[in-house]
Amino acid sequence: VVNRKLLIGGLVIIAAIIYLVVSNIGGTSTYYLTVGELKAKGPSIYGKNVRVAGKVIGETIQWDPENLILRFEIADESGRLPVVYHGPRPDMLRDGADAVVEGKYTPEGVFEVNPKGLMLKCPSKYQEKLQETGS
Amino acid sequence: MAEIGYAALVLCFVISVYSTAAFIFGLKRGYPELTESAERGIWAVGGLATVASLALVYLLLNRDFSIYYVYRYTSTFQSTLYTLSAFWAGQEGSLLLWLWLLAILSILAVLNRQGWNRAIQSYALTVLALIEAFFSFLLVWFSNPFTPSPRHFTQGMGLNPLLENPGMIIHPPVVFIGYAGFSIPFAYAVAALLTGQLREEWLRKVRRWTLFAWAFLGAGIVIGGWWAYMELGWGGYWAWDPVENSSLIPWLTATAFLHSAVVQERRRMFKNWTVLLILVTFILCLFATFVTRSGLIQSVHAFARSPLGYHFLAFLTLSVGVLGYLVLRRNKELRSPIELDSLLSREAGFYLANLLFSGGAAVVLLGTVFPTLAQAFQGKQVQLGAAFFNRTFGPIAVAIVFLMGICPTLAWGNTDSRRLLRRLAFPLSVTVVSTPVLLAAGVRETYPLLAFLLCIFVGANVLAEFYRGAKAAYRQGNPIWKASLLPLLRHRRPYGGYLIHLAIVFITLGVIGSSFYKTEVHISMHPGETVDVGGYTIKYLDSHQESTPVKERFTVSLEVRQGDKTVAHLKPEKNFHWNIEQWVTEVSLHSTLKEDLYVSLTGLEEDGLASLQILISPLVSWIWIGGGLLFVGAMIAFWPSGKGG
Repeated sequence: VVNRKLLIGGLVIIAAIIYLVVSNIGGTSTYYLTVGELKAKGPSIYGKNVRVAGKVIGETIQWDPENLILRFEIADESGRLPVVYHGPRPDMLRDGADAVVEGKYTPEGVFEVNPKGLMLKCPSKYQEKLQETGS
Repeated sequence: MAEIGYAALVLCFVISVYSTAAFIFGLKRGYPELTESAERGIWAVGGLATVASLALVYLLLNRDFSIYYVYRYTSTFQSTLYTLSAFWAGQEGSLLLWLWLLAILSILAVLNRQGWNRAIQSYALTVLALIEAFFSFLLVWFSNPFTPSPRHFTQGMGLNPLLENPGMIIHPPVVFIGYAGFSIPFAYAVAALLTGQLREEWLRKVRRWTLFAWAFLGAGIVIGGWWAYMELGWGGYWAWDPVENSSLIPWLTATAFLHSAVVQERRRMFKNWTVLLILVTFILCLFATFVTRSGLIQSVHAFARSPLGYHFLAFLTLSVGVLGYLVLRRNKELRSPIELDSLLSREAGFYLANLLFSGGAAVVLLGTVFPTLAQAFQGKQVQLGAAFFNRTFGPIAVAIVFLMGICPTLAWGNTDSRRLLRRLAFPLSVTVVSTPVLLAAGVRETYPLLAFLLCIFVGANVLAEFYRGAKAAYRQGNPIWKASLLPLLRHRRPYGGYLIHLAIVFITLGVIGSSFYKTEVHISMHPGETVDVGGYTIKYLDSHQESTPVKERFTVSLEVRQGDKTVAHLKPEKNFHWNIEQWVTEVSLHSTLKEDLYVSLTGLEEDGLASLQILISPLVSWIWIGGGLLFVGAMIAFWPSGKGG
């Protein structure tokens, strides 16, 4: 009888863990969309959390250091997307940097980036140099 | 020197292959001479791996830029200490470090033959020789640290400035000692499976090895968190990044193993659990090494994509296949029915704890590989946020803390419920009394309130345990100071364990405090201006700029006051490093046991306008204290005890 109780206890724990995973995997996973896909979704996408990747267009960068508001556009093959970010200007923001923005598309056609939702990756000079010298 | 190093690696490979074969033949055909010769092979590999490592150290210290690895990770501006730490700054050096540690531990395994049955000892050493062969194979053909530079260089690239932090000097080797350390219990577990001698002897022998590896891996994880906190400048210490996760997963399964092994020793149950857990732990360590190399899983830590990943994957798949076969073959011997007398018994608690540890490991593993799986099967690019891990692993961790409070008060076999109540009376009343205090202090949300109360419950329980031990020693006529230390010295295993539980309580407090009650402010200030944040008044005094050969350095000076008292002067920096042509921020913090005031300089305009990120992170220091205590507790439990405690 004790063993059966224990087995039930174990099953409850396993079921609880599976429930935790299943109930959270949808709500916490974010899909990547291209700029074109994002715009094609229309109003259905407003307010939904998505990720878009693209290259930073250097001449569109506007930085307001007093109010910490950063505006710029990113582009991929399917189009350009204006984004706005509230927070410090990242060190790696420059023309041609690979950006991933996580946030929500608004009816105004501007992508509102979440706090900490701006991720930048530079094919850094460091790595470029290494690639030049390597092989 | 590079030729010597490379030749040593080639010999490592040849000899470890020879040893593997010699152990097998020696055992099967019954030639003790062959076994002895194979053991000398293990010694030789240890010596040769040391030669190769010292050769690399020599080249690094001489800044011999004709070696590509040295060129990539050192420069003449770098201090000696950081030049040494360049050893593990890249993939080739890290793998060499792995091999070196493994080779040294294997020698210890050869020496530690006392009491081992010949067959088990030979098989275990075979497994170790085989792992050595795998690592030296990779080093010789795919990841040679002694590769010459493509052309002549007069200056090196230098270490990535993010790695120039005391944490990064010790984090990688400490983690690697953990990973390599698990190869020993793994090898003996495989040997036990091969010989079918799956009783408790092998366990008793490897338990201390596992504890050693476990302590290092645990400490390494905490040091890694501290590095991220100090160096990455976003105020966090854990981002559920694949590389961080993959070091946590084997630590969790090893924790389960340590608990499971105790039950097997005491009650001869959980045989199958125990053996599986240690096999899985080592495989996960290999996986963790592989994750950083493969580029298969996206991570900030990941080295560039390299063919190495496929070799690791092949080795992993092969190992899992062979191990799976072995376990199935020994299915009968491994079967150990769970026979419990009562639910209120320690073994029942350990059983549930095992499920939680393994479940937690499974959840983190699933979350880590989920984006890769989704990409492969759905063709969609998906990212799982930190929220996934917090919401799934968080509750599991809280449940584990709860069990940590209950389990040590339960007896083996059956617990007298009246005695249980008496033992729980103190921790329970402390918990009840603390509830209004916590509420008054502003802890209102269910989840953190529950977690804090559980921490208090477990902490009080551990203290009560120490009190009981000390009281007994005091009654025997020891002076108070001695009586309070004696339990730790006499009964190292249980009291080392209690210290570890206390360490986990500290870490939990730190994690809950800093995740739920963090204050974060982004602000722009001109020199002379002040800002009030969370009880601190921060005044921006002035800014400063200077050029050094390695960087352009920008600093702002801040004066921090609490009431009328100046409590700190902070100098966050933002530096442009010439070698990587990137900005790196250096945070500045005022740390107390209550909270950290953490300031990073995110921008500085020509006119002195500074953008600051100001963070107040409660209780975060307790994470580092807990990490230290965890290591100390594990070392106390690890230390051999004359009385078999």
